[in-house]
Amino acid sequence: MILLVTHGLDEHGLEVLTRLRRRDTDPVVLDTARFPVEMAITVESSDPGAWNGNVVVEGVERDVTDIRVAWWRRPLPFVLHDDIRDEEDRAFAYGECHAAITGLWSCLDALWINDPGRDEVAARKMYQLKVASRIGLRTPRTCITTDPLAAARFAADEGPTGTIYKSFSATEKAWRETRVLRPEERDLLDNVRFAPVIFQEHVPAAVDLRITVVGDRMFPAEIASQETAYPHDFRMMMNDAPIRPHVLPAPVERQLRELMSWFGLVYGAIDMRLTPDGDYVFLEVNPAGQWLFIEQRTEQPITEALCDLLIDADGAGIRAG
Amino acid sequence: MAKPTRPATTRNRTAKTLPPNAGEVLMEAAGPSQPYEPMWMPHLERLDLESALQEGTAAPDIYAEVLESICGSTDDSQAVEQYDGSLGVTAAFVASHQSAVAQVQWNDNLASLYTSPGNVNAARWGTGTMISRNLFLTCGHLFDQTGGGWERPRQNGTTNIISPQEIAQNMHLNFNHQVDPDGNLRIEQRFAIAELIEYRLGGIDMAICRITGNPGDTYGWTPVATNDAADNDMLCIIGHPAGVPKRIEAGPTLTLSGNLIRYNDIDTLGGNSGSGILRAATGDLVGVHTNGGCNASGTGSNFGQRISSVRAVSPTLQALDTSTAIIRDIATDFGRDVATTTATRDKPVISDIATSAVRDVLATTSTRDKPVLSDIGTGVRRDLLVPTKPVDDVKHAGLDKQFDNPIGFDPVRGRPFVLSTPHHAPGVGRQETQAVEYEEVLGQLGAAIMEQQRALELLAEQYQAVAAEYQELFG
Repeated sequence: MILLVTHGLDEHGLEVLTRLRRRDTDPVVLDTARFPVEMAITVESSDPGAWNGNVVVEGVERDVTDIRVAWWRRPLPFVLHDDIRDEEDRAFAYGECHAAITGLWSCLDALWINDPGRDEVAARKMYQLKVASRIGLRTPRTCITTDPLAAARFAADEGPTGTIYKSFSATEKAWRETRVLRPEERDLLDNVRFAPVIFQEHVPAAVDLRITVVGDRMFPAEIASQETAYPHDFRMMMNDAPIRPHVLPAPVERQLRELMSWFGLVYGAIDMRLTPDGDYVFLEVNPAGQWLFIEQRTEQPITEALCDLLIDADGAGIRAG
Repeated sequence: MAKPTRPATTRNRTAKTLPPNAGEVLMEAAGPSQPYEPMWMPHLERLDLESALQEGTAAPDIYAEVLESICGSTDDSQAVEQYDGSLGVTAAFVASHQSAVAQVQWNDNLASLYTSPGNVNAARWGTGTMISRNLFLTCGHLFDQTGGGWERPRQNGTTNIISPQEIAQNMHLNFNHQVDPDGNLRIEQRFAIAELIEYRLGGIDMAICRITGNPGDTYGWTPVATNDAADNDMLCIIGHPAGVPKRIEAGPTLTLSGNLIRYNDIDTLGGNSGSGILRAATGDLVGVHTNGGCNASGTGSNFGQRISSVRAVSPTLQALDTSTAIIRDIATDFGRDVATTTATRDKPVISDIATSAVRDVLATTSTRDKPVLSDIGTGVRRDLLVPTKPVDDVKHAGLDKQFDNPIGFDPVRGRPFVLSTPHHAPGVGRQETQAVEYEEVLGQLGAAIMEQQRALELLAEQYQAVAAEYQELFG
């Protein structure tokens, strides 16, 4: 059985769900935001080795004991009952929910895409750069700091080619594109003491690359961000930038597979830059990154590959059991 | 006059006709009876009683059985038009207050609107009270998206339950859902709920709806008290317990605590939720009934939201103040109504109208602390810089909305560096951002216009009332 951990507004999740249903599967969809108000979970363990779990959503009970593959797509924070008013009580309830749910994840005899723990570790940007560099991928010189002096020094050392800066996270409310540090912004560097910032070498680009990895399959695409009005961050000009399939050199492909394997990721959306000199520079991997914008422009069958992976893993699990 | 407390042991229990486990079925369906669990309509369909309840004539007896099976207590509520004056308020009091009480019912076309209509189609859902020509006060939980073991409709194409606003707009009010003195069911009159204008403000289980067709013109409305009931004040609750034709119950105030007014000796059930709690001495509304404390062992008290707490969070009730104050002042001074509020007011009528009332009106429309109004011209633009959309804390590469900072550098220090510098990308997302900004401003202006229109209507009514009095007195 297939489990999808996502919510009703996740366009990518709905696309996969639709295709899976078309292929005669009936995945269990679990929206963590509905727990514990609208969703009940029961996990039971009795004799040694005997374990079973079920979830009830909208009055429908689904046995999750036989989940063989689980897609960790868009878990949302739990939403607690309004009846709990006291903040400490709420914190306690939230912690209990988290403990029970993570316990359930661990109990599932399933292949995870991706394993929640590995997903979290792999999302650490500094660690990504360290691992990528060790594997032999070129990475940008980087300084992550809360020290205004260190930031200023890094920017000075980068010199006239420029320094780019970006944040770790992006929420809809606090969304900032990757930017080149402007001279007048150096006066504000004192503000890095409030929250760390990622400063990086400004890597010139011939094209930006988005490589979507689905199990053994790899879908590299090039995004001609330099042909747009904002060449520093392809996300800003998605509709303007031509996007085409790309062929990676074999060594780079091998290194990326090694990176995925290091982090234990089955799925990943990798961002790289191809410099005018022909260098491939690794920027980051997003363990739950979007892919539909690539699929729609390149016709690379990424969603089908994901569905294949989920269905095959489910079947393999049943055979194994 | 206070009704004597009725020890459970002296109650006359009627013969049981329900299945032996009926109480359990209903309790389970209505959810656990915890102190803060609001009272939901029991699942009568599981007892196959609903049709009998709607027949009317059989309602009192069946209602008594349902109440007993759920609360372990016998029912001594009475049909409003058959009331014998024995419960603690007079028959005249009930006659003059019952008509403004209406039942809230889900519309019966949910299946034609929604692919997942849930199981609430045509469910008789709660009670409330008209408080002006077109405003209806009830409890908030009638419009909640969850609770009571009921399934509400879901937005087509998604698994999301429709919003409280959409829930309200799929409901209507039934006036006259009651039996006449001979026990025959009257023909009910329906009015659509146009809009949910206040919902659970400040965490209070309250709601105010705007009703189409001004039912208040026909059925009247009940003044909303400006002060709370006191301990032992006799209270009266008129409503539709378990959805049955309108009934009245009464009993003394037990206590007021926090935001709640508690009373025992008033038997209520889901379906009563949202009923006004009327003060017998003054006839005004001192609370909104929300919770049943009844349980299988027959212990616990019922409670509602006290009026001072509801009033404190409700701009609509605050705006209604001046209207009711003027009318009550005039009525009091000229002895046209019960002399209930004179104790707290000693100013002459004219000075009230000329000074405090007018001042209140002006205060209502100009200086009251209403975010919508105070934001116009001052805070609106500032607020626009802070998108208030729900946050999906995950990057959507290439698909995110971008929010430009049109004033460039934020002059406020103390922001993280990345947020204190402006966007660089030229014009990207600007159109979208501006559309959001415009929509937000339009929404706020629209709300402000509606609010001002309501205030104008009230002023016009006040003007008419005062002018009529003037004509009558001085020609």
